Amino acid sequence: MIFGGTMLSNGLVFARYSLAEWIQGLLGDRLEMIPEWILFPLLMLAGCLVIIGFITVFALFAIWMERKVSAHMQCRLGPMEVGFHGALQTIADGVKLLGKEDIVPRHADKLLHYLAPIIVFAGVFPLFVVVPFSEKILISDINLGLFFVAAVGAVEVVGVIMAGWASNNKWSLFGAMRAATQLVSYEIPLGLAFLTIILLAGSFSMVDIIHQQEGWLSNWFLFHNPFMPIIFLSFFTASLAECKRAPFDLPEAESELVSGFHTEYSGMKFSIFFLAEYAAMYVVCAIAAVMFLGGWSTGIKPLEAWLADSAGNPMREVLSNTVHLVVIVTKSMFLVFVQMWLRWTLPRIRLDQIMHVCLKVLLPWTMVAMVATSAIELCWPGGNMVLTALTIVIWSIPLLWTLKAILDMTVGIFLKFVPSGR
Amino acid sequence: MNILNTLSILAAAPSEATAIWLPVFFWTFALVSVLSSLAVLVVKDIVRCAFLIMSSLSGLAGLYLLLGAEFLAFTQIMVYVGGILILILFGVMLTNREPLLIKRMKATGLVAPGVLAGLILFTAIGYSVCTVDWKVTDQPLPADADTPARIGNALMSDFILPFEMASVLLLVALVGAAMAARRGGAEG
Amino acid sequence: MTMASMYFDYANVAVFFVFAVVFVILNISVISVILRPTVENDQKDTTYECGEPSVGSSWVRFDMRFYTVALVFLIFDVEVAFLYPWAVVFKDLRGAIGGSATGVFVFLEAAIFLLILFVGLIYVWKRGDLDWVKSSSAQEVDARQRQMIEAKDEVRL
Repeated sequence: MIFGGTMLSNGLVFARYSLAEWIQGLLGDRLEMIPEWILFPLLMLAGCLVIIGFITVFALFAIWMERKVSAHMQCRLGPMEVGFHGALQTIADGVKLLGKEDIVPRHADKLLHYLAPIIVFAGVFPLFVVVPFSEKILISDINLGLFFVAAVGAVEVVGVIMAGWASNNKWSLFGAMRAATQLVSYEIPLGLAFLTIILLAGSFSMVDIIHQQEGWLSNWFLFHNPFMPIIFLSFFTASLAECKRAPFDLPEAESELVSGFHTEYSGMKFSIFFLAEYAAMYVVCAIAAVMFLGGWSTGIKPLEAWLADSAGNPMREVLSNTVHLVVIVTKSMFLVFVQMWLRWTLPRIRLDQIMHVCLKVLLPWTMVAMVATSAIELCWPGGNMVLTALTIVIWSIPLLWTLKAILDMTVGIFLKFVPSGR
Repeated sequence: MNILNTLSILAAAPSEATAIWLPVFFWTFALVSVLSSLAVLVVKDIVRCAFLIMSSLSGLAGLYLLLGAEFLAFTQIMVYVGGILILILFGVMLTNREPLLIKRMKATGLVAPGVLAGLILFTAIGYSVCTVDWKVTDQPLPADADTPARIGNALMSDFILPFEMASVLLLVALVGAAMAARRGGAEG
Repeated sequence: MTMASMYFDYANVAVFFVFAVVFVILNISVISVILRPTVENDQKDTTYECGEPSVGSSWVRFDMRFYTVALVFLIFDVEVAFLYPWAVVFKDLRGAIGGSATGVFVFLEAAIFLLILFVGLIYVWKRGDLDWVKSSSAQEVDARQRQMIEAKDEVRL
């Protein structure tokens, strides 16, 4: 038997665990009749289908969430008509987009206009190969995971420029140029943040990076030393810019550029851009969770040890994977929420300010923080409780201050609506 | 880590799947990079040329990947597709001074020197490819062929000077870029 | 990691890439073609410019500053690419106990590498080449320099 059960269950594909075993159970002996060279791509394709399903569900949810979050932050209700609190609104919008006509402007470069959404989506979708969901639920733990993200993440820019150029519309081209400049320059702080994490973990692989942060919460790279929160903040800022989210949303600034580089796109082509944008949002947030927030680790050592101890206990393995899946998706969704929160809190900044923030704030700070981190790693290999405590003490000051400001504000708004008794 | 065990078994006996798919990928990448390079010569619209360069460069990255040079492949994508290509595109958008003048210029007396330079370059490359004693082997790469770590170790031991010189080179490039931009940029 | 496992990892990437392309084409050219109407209208195909008829082509010449940003980016991109191999071996080379000789050496090597570039960054920063909007004094300096260059060009002619 060339192709045993172990090989399948440890398979090379998404849900190495359940999916492969399920297929084997379904086909039994007939499995061996399918040649290996067809079976492998088919299993990989199954992974694709699961991921595209995840992206679609995520996008449907995130768009609804975005509208709800924005509405409630502005004391509105947001979509309320379709489904419970407008939960099905996005599906209705999707159906509407499917029925929309596809308009290509007369003066556009029609070939490039067609290719641009393909390149943008094909630049984002393969990133999901390395996005982990749990120990068993991941497509592939590529050896060069983080470097892969840094490299393939850069391809999207080309699609954006192509879209803007091909449309032959001034708004589109301005949007595309802004997007290209912004995406390109924010890759530097992003790359430096990747470097710092690789330096700490000694590996590019996502799973290795997560394993390094297991145990108590204090093992998370965010708390490694007082410089790590700087790296995290600059990574998060850069990832906002990479996703073209407010306050860095100038490429599609509605109030000045109509819709930026996708002004001339309608119907499904437009929704592909939208889907790619939301997919990229999840990718950067999941990667931030992996890099700084311990990935799927719960941060409670005894619980982690109990979950990991699944020898001869298949149910616990399933439980462990489920818990880890929930944990990492929750962490990523929290970061997605923060992205939305920032969108409705901060005004859009100008292009010169964007360049200023990138080259004169993020770049020097991240460089200094990276060198400092490597020096600390040199002196105290593998981290140090004192440094972690110091990090938490130092950074709790701005954090508590922010929390107090938020609390004051929310309580203040709440009190406004409470009848004052008179 | 039983996945690794499985995979090492697989590596010991190259599977049928690898044997069938490898040539398919090789020919795809090779054709993509060669055909799009040829298309760059023929296509009239320079912006399209710039995008064709992208597919040529990506095809090359795929070939590197097939050779087991993962790090090189991703550096190729990161620096060439994500960097130099953007530079070329910006350059194209900057140089077109008259609206709609995006067509390739007619060759004006540059054909002969162009052909000559091409021939010289081709001979030089061809000569070096033919004369180098390539160490061809059908052995699989060693198990520790973790390319970035190897490159890192090499850079930190035998190639310290080139590593530091690269930094100086980049410094010169940065200052040069600033100067070049200054010369043409002030017009706003 | 062996070659075979590497191939399988990247085969996933290839399958994902192909799937993404097919998915988009399917959506744009098959599913939506079936579902959407196609009503020919001359006005609809014009370039969208908020109701105004558009003047000229939008394929216009762009500002030099975009090119400068791309140049600066490229240099730092290459720098970061050089540092990846360093970062991945740093943990192995730094030694288990703090401050081993190799570790200090490796650290210094990268620190010098970064320092040289940092000097470049500070130089460009101080000269105001990173400013998107230049102060009027910086613009004057630029204008003067351009005049000098033009004068030199004239002499050469």
